[in-house]
Amino acid sequence: MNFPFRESYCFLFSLFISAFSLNAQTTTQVVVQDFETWSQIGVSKKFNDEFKMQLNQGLRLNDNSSSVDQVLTNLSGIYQKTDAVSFGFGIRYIRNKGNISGEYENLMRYNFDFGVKHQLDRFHFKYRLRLQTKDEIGYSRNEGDFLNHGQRLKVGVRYNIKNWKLDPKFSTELFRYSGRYILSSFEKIRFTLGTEYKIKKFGEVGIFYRIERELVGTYPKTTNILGLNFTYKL
Amino acid sequence: MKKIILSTLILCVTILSCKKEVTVTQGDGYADWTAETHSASSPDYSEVFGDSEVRRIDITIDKAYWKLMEKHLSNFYSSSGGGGGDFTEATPIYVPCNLEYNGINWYNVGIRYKGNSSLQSAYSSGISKLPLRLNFDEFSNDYPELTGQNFYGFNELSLSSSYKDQSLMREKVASDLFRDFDVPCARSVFCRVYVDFGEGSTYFGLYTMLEVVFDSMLENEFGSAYGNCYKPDGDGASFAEGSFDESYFENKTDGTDWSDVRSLYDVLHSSERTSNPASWRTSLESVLDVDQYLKYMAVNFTIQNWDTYGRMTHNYYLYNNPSDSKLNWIPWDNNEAFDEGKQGGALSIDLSDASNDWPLLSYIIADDTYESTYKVHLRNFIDNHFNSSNMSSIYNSYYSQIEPYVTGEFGEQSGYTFLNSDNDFSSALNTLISHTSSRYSVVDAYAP
Repeated sequence: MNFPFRESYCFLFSLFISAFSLNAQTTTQVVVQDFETWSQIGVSKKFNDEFKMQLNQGLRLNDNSSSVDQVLTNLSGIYQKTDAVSFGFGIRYIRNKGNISGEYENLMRYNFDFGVKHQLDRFHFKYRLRLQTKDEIGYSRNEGDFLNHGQRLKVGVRYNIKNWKLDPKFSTELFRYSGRYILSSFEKIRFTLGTEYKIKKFGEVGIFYRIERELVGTYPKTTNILGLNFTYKL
Repeated sequence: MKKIILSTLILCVTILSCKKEVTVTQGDGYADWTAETHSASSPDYSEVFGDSEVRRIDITIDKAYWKLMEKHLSNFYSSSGGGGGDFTEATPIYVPCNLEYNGINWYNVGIRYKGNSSLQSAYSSGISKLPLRLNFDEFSNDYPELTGQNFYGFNELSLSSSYKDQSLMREKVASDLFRDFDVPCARSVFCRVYVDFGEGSTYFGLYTMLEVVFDSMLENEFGSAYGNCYKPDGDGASFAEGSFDESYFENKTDGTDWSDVRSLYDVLHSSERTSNPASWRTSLESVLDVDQYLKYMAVNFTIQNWDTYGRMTHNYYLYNNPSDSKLNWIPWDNNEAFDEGKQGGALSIDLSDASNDWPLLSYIIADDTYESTYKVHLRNFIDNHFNSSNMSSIYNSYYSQIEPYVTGEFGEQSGYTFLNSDNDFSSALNTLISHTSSRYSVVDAYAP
């Protein structure tokens, strides 16, 4: 049989396309790594030696930092009676792109923190236990919206380098989630390396690089995050 | 030099940080997964709903998840003051389970309780034979390799517990009769359900397994599933004058368009109904498949399926068939058929007791043309389907088929049955048989 070139080409091309079509239904693409950026600007006010408040506006981009993942507004306060112990709280509004639907949802998060810190030579250690509760706005329990609780334990260390303003900081934080009708589990862990630069009487600029790793699922996701923040001191 | 090192470092970190995806193959790592059993592109009705034998499924639920299901159920009813409500729509909490059928396993299948009074009443009376819903793809976000998992082509299946049905066959027989008379209705099959929730395999009893309307049935019956499919519930589902509100018509398919049910309501209450009946019928037939609806009425009121339109504002679906843009009536939840009923009882065969609060009955039967067609369908139904000879044969056949799994050593167990004794089951058979002859006489007199 003698096929003209054009017919042969069309036949082979159709075969190529149909092979992909058959395979398309039996595979799923799963994101196992992403690059995100988190940026944040805010103002802080120290009312006295013991109490400070901060208001921040943040933006998180995911999908190789090309798509808006979260827009958030955060109001927080910290009470520090001694150098070693602190108590904090935070209220956060989150406009969040749902993982499953891809549609944006509105959430409120409330958190309470208990912190301890101490110094060992040039090393400054910090430990923080955060208890948080998240709730989707506009939905009731009767509609299946139950509070999502989180417990987070963070351990951090900063090294004070002599005559150098950019002290490096490293921390790790473990996340555990629970809820009324979900089984509690450790969901993810974060490792963060960063530094801060204080601008006298003006504010502070911070930069960090973070690796976040999921601890559940058959294909746990690793997220690499580059963060930048600026806080203006009132 | 420092700049080059820094730039190279940033470049490397950026490249290594970038988004990565992996291709996951369906069923990867799951020994029993085959294309035919776990990811069939079309439902295998003969395998799942063939009548030749009673099916058996074995469900295994992790003890922690079982406790979660129980806690949710308990809290739901205590928070609603025992008042019930539609559990399925309000708070569907799925937990993962393993399902075994004919020695083949399905993995991390979503399971939840479902139902309204059949769930609440059984639960509050301490009976653990509760209606269930299975979703084979529910946990595919947690397990991407299970994406598209189905059961011989069925994504979802419903397990009805035969609540208030000591014959355990009303749901199945009603569904069969509707289908035999060309009324679209979900297919059903008897199924033994065993559940291991951490204390060994327990026989939960004989269930009726049904296909889910908006999953497989629409495609099978109408050749499409993209038309609007509503599950009406609440006051507006009566179509009574002044009651229409979109919120009573949950649109399972699209969720944003109610124009067709609105048109049905408007036409139904049009003044033409009395001023120009012929024109009214034409308008009505342009939005509702009236002949199919009259067939539904013929079956429904012959078999006294009372727990639906006419007494209750639920237990039916409406599907807008894209091929002719007409709404089709789909009956659902027929476990209380073949009975005089409650809530005022089943309506009479001439529907003289159907008030204008149920205009899809009272207005239809008041129209001479439709009443004549209704009578023709009634006659046809009792002549060819619902007569003593045919129904006795069906009832006895099903009785023999399910008896070993209802009574005796391998029958339903205390705490997992609605039967008080084995005699209840045989008595229920006799009740059904005598019900046929009495209903035949009633219909025969009305539609000679």
